[in-house]
Amino acid sequence: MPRIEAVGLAKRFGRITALEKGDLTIEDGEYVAILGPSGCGKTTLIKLLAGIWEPTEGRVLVDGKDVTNLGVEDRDLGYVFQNIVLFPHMNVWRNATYGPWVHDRTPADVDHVGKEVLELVQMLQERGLFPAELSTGSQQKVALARALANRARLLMLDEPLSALDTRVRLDLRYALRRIVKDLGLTAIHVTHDQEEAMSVADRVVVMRKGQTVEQGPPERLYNHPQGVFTANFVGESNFLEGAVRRIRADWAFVELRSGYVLRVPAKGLLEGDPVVLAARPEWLTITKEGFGNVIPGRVEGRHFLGATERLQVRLFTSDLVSIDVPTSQSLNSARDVMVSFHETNILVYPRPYAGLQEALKLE
Amino acid sequence: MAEVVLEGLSKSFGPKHALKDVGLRIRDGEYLVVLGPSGAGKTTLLRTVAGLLDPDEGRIRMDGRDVTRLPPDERQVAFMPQTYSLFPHLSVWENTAFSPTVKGWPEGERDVLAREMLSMVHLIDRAGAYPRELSGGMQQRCALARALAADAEVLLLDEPLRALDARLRIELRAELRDLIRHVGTTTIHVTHDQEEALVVADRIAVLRNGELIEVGPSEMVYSRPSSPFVANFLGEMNFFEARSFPADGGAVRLVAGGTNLTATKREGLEGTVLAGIRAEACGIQAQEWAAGQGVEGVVERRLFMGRRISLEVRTEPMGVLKVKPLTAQANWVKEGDPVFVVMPGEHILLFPVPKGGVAAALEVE
Repeated sequence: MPRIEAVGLAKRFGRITALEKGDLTIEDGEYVAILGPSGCGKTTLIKLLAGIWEPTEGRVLVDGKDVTNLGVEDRDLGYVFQNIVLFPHMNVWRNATYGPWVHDRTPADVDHVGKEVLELVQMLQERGLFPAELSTGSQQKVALARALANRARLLMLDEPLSALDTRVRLDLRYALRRIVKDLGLTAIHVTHDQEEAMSVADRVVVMRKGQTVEQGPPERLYNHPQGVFTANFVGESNFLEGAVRRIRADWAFVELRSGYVLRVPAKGLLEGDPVVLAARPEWLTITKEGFGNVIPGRVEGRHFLGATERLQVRLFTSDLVSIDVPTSQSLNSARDVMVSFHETNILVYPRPYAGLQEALKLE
Repeated sequence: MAEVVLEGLSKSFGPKHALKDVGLRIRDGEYLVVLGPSGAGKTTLLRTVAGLLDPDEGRIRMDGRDVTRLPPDERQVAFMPQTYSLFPHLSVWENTAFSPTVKGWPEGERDVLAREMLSMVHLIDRAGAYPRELSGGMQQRCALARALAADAEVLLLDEPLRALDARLRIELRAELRDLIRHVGTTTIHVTHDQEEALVVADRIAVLRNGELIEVGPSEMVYSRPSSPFVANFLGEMNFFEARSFPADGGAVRLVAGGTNLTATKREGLEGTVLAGIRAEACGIQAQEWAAGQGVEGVVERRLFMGRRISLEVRTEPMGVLKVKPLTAQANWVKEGDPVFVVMPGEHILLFPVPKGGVAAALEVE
C-alpha cells in the first residue's frame, strides 16, 4: 500500500528553479490534487514523484523506501498523460492489455485484467475499435484503463482532462474519482482547473512559483483560505482594501475608501492594521434597507450564468464587485442597490507588502 | 462594421459532412457565439467565413455584398486562430502594427491606431517585448490587439481562450467581451465551453455534427432549449420518461414511476414525454421538512465544488438524480442522508421522446 513522501525535493534547470525545495506527504489511499497556474511547478513535481525526471536535490520515498534512483518503469505506478498516448495501430483491447501482455502474464490473466479495467472505464463494448474511431473522451478512458491494467496501487494523473472539451471533462472527473476510490488507489492528479481539483480530491495542494502556498480539504480551502492568492485562485473573490479603524469587543470596524465602514470579526487584528477584505460573489446579497453591514452601489452590468446571474456593482467606495444572485430573484432591474456583507462571510487578511495585485497575479 | 449573412453553407471533407446547409444572419455589431462539441464543424464554419476554405455550396454576404469567392484579404475580416500565431520575430508593437503597415497606412495614422489598441488591451508597457517573453494571457491580448488593428469589419475568434488556464479564462472572458463591445465590431466567437458562451454572447448558435440546431439569446437557449441535446450540453440534466395529462391553468401533470409532478405545458406534446430538469435547478431538503414537489432518495455521492455541491441521489422512481445546490443551501448534506429532491415545475422541460433513445440524443462526441 503506497504512501509517498517527497523530502527536501527540488528541481532546477540551469538558473531556473522549477521547484523550490519542499516536502510533501501523500497518505495511502489518498486522492491529492496539485493545483496551480501554468509554470507553478506542478508538472515538475509529479514528474519527479513518478521518476520521469531526476531531482536536483532531495529524495522520494514510497512506503519509507528510497526510490529516488529508480526509473519510472521500476516504480510500480500507472501514469496518465495530458496528451492522450495510445498505440494507433492497436485496438482498444490491445491498448488496454499492453502492460500485462509485455510482462508475459498468462493469457487467462491478460483476459481477466483486460475485462476488469475496460469495464471500470465503461469501454468494454468498444474493445474492437481503434483509437482513431473513438472520441477524445473515450480515448482518454482507454489510456486510463491501460494505466490501471498493470495493477499498480499508485496512479499519477498529469492534467488528464485538459485536452478534452469542458462538457466531457465534467463527466470524466466523476468517473476518475469513483474508480480511484472503488479500487482504493493512491492518486496524484495535476490540474490548473480549480473546480476539477475540488471535485476529485480529498486534499488540494495549491502551488505558485515553484512552492506550495496552501493545502487542505477542498471545503476548507474554499471557505477559509489562508491567503489572498488562494482566495482568488480557488474560486473567485471580491477584494476591498481598508484599515482597521477601531476594535470593540469581538468586532473590528474596517474603514474602506470614501469612509465606508464594515464590521468584521476582530480576531488577531490591531487598530490601524492595513487589511484586505475578501468575499465570494455568492456570499454577497442585494438588499433594499440602508442599515447594517451594507455599502451602496450602482449596477453596471448583468451577465446571465445559467442558474445564477452575475451582477457587477460599482460600490460607492469605487470598488467593482461581482455578486451572484439566483436568476429567478434578479428580475427587477434596479440600478441603485445596497450590497450587504455578512459578518461571518467576510475573510480578513493583512494587506500584502508587495501590493494586492501582485499577490493575486495568476501568471 | 458589417452584417454577415450565411446562406445554405455546406462543406465536406471526403465522406465527412463538416457543414450541412448552415444558414444564419449576424447583425451589424453583434457578438455571436457558435457553441458545440469538438468536431461539430465550428472551426470549419469560421474558416469558411474567413475565406480560408471554400464552401461546396452556399453563399456568404457581408453588408449585402457576396464575398463567397473572394480571397481572405479582400473580405474585411480578422481571424484570430486558437494558437494566436503571433510572429515570433516581431515585437508586440510590430505584431500589432503589422496589418496597417502591410496595407500601406501612413505612418502617423498607423502609430495612433497601434497605440490605441495596445493601450486598450493593457500591453502598451510591453510594446517592445517579443511573444516568447509574454505570459499566455498577454499573448492572447496581443493577438486580439493585432486582430482589432486590422480594422476589419468582422472579427472571427477561434476558441480564443482555450490555450489559457481555467482560472485565467474566467477572468479574461469578461474582459474580452467588454473590449470588443467597446469597439463594436461584429464578432463570431467559436467555443466548446458552454459557460463561456453564456457569459460573452448576445446570441448563441449551437452546432452539432455540422448542423445548426438552435439559435437564440443565452437565456432562451439555456432556459427553453428546443432539444434534449442542447439542454444537456448547456448544463447537466436529469432526464426521465413520464406520462403527461392535461391540468388546469396551462399546466400538465406528469406521472413518472408513481411520482406525480406538475410542469408547464408545452404545445403539441401529449402522452409519453421526455421530461428533464437541470441539476442546478433541483433543490435539496431533509425528508422531514419536505415541501413542494419532488422525490425522496438517499445521497450516494457528495462532491464539493466551491459555489455548489454536486450530489448524486438514488431515488426509487427515477434512478440516480444529479443535484447541484448552492453550497450555502446544502452544507448540511452528507453521504447516506435520506433527502427530498425538490423539482420546481417551472424548471421542468418537456421534449418528445427521442426515437433513437435518450443516450444517442445526448451524445456529445
